[in-house]
Amino acid sequence: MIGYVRNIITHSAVDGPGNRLVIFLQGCNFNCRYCHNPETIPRDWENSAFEMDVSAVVNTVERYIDYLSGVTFSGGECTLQSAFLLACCRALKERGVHILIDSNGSASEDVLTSLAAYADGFMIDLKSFSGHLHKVLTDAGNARVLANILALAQCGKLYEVRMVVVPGFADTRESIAWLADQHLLHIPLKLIKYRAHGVTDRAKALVPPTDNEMQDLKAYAEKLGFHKITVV
Amino acid sequence: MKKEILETIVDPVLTYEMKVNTLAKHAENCLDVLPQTDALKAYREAGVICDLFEGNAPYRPRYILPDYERFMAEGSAFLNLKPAEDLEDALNNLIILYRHVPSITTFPVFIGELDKLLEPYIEDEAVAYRAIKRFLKYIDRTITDSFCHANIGPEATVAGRLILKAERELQDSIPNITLKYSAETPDEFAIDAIETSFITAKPSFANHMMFTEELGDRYGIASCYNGLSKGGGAFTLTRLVLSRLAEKTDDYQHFLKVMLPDVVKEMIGYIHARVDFIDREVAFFDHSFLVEEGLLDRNRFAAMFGLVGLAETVNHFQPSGCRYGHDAMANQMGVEIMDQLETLVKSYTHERLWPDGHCMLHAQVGIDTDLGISPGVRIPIGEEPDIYSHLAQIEQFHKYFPSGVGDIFAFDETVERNPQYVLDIIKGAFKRGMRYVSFYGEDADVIRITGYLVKKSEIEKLSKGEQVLRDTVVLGKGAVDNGRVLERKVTGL
Repeated sequence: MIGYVRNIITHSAVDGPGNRLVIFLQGCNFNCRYCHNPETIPRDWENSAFEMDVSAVVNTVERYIDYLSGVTFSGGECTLQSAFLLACCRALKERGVHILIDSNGSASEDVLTSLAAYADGFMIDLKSFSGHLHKVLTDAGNARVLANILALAQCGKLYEVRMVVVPGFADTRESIAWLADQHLLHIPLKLIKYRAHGVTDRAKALVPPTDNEMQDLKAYAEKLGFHKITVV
Repeated sequence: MKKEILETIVDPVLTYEMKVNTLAKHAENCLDVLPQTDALKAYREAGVICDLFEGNAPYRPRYILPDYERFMAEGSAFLNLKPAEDLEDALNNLIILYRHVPSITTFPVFIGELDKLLEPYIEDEAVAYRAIKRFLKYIDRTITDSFCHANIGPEATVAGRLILKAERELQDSIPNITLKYSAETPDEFAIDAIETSFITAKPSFANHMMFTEELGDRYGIASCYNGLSKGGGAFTLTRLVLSRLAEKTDDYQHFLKVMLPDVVKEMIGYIHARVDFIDREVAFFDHSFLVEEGLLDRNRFAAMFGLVGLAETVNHFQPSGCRYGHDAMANQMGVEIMDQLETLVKSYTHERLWPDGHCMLHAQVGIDTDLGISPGVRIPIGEEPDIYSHLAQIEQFHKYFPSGVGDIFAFDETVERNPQYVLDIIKGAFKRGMRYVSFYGEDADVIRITGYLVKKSEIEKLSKGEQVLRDTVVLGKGAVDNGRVLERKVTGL
């Protein structure tokens, strides 16, 4: 089983709890205006990524495992290579490795269910609650994203919901309110300030929020009853 | 000599206490009582062997770690102190005893396993917290030397948590603190300690299992990171500036087979002479209430054989472009030099030395005047490889130094938000042989200078010619000016 890997970071403090080895799989089905890693979007696998088989992934992880809390699969959208991802998760879980999947939440129910059997949790991006804004931001709808957030929460595998805050483009307040309505106050929220680093021309119209706006959003979430909120 | 005495007396930057201590050192140094061969004199003059300001006539062991548990249980007849009955008494008894613990700096370098000493006296946490915080503040303002060291752990205790909480609030540089970390240390307590270190550069983490396997249960961490016996200590720490020796030749085999054996012979001779002077001439152990009352055991004193500059030594003998910490060949040479040094040092014995008659190797943290010489076996500042290579390097060399070695990592805010990241690194590295490690947050005022703590704000005061309370700030300023210690980086984050 071969996968197409864009990059591997052997230690990261920002991709889940503790020190994590992060595997970035190539290819994404969204086209976010503010994408900070646009090079991971193309799905011309052979040209844009390197091939790895499952045993190579396992060997890489084992080399560093003494220093790790676990492994995070990211992308691109890692669930697009679902068969490879599933095989990696199965092999790593057999070795007792903690696994997180960082996803845009667009996977099919079948893919999600099969991955959830091995992954310890999912970190899902909620780009926008409004389907229209979601389409403007990402060129894709969000019906599956919302459904997957609920499905993962139900099976106890929703590790975190992330929102990139872009005034005028992301309806973060509405997204937070929806999560609260769905009784997901126990889920950690990560509010990420949009920053214009590494983005393409398509992000020209986007303006970063002020620190005050970030704190206002945090206060709003706290008022609704969320208690694990990170602002970065 | 008269000139130096006058200079000390009129110095505008030294505090009164610093002047008294410096004058005592001048007095001691006018004596010439230790036998020295011509070869030893030449090594000392060339700065190859250095006694680290220990003085020409040592009249007390350099490091003393009193048996504070015994003191708490029995009190002291000499000091007319009964065992404490409550926390207030316990803290008061301790600060009285601290005043009477001799050391190279005149200040105690070990103030006990504070959590264990205080835990039995804690009843009301809020009351205890106020008392402990006041006690720690008193220590910072009166034991004005960052080599003063407290230990906590490995178990989590109420007292341990209160000490960490107080240090987060006080943000003082003194005392230095080490958490003895082992599998017994709950993650939650370790995280509490890591978060404290981001704010105030302490505690450091000691590999408890490694230390107990080598030194037994009765060990303490004193001064910078020195593993020594509780109820004992170290007579002396003399150091070998390895790179200054290496610079004298381009022939590596000659260095390894001829020069090293000779310098080790001379240095051990000097160390043994210092031990004998303290033990026989001064007869320290025959005239100390600490010994008489069982707070010190004359048979639990080590002698430390320090070294600095392994990195520069290896690089001197490597072809250009091949660097210690980066290339397997260079690291292998480092191992070969350490193996040779260990063998040579262990070939000499002295009946008075704990634990086994040999000097203990010690990776010395450097002094303020070291220019272009890295502490102990560290990779030079500015040349740090990626974090895993750095850790692998550390794990390879820490085993040689039961009496102390350590490295330092400065972390940025992304890591500060994720302290578990640091705990993961500690767990992995300790499993693989790291002995001791310190952390600090890049934005904190209290920072670690190679092995001790200072405040950046105090260095700035000293730079402007103003007096500062703590003597180690002077060393810290030298290290910042000459050793670029503020530039220590974790590469790859």
